[in-house]
Amino acid sequence: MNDDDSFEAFLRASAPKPLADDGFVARTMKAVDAANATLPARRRAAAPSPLAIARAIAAEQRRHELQARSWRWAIAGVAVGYLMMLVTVVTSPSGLRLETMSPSQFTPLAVVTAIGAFWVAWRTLRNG
Amino acid sequence: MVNDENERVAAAHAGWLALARDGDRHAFARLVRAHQSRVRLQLRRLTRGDAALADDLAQETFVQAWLHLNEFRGDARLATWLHRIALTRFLQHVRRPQLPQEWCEPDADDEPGHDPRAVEGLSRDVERALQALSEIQRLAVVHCFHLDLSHAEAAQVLGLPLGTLKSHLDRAKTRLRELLGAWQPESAT
Repeated sequence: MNDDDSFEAFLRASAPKPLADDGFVARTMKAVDAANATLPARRRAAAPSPLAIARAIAAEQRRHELQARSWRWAIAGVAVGYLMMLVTVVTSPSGLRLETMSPSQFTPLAVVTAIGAFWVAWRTLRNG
Repeated sequence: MVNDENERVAAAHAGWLALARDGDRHAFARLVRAHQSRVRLQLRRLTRGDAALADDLAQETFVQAWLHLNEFRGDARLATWLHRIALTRFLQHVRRPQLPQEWCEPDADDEPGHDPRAVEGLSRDVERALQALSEIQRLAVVHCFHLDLSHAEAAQVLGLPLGTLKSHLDRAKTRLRELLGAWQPESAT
């Protein structure tokens, strides 16, 4: 230990004695509790009013009815189309004739179907 | 053995700190109990011995620490963080943004005009000798040797560059050696 170290040890030895608690911790914790009490309460979502709840239910009901109507029209369209096909076949002068098609003949239909699928998907995603 | 004890204490403090961060006030009370003496001593030094004011500021220091405990990143020791808050509270109290410039000037009026051997007790002699230093030198000595902070920690608490703190400390030690010549280092042990 050199002279400087000795002098530093000497200064450390001269440090005042630790202070007794003397109720300091209890007083401080009271102040901590008081500070906690004055903190703003965490923001909670306000409860919706009955009118807002009624409006939300009505809007949901309208969306549901619109969707059900769309489905009904779609099913009716498919059924009418099928019936028209049957009528056309039955009334055809040459009668019913089955032909196999080459895969390349499906290409226009596949393209139209794909475009339709993408369009429905895009609308669905855009509207959430 | 001492290292084991220090590690045990440090582990206990880290556990209390983790609990206090989760809102456990009992764990925080233990931390207050562990650090109250050094924070109050630091503030008594800053307030030039006004114990009541020092205790009020110490209380505010711990309340601030409680409210901002989640901001303590753990880069420094908790003691260093608390001492820094205490110094900031003191500066807010005296309405200064930083340590006053006049504190860097020696207190000529406080020159001790007595023989250290004539006064009882080492602490009192050192205390009197400290009065001959500038306030900043006094704070450097107190933070490094009485509050047991490293030079880097003391510089962080006082908001000084490390080199500046060391320079104040060197000048303070030179002056104290002159004033405390009557005390041999051996006499302190």
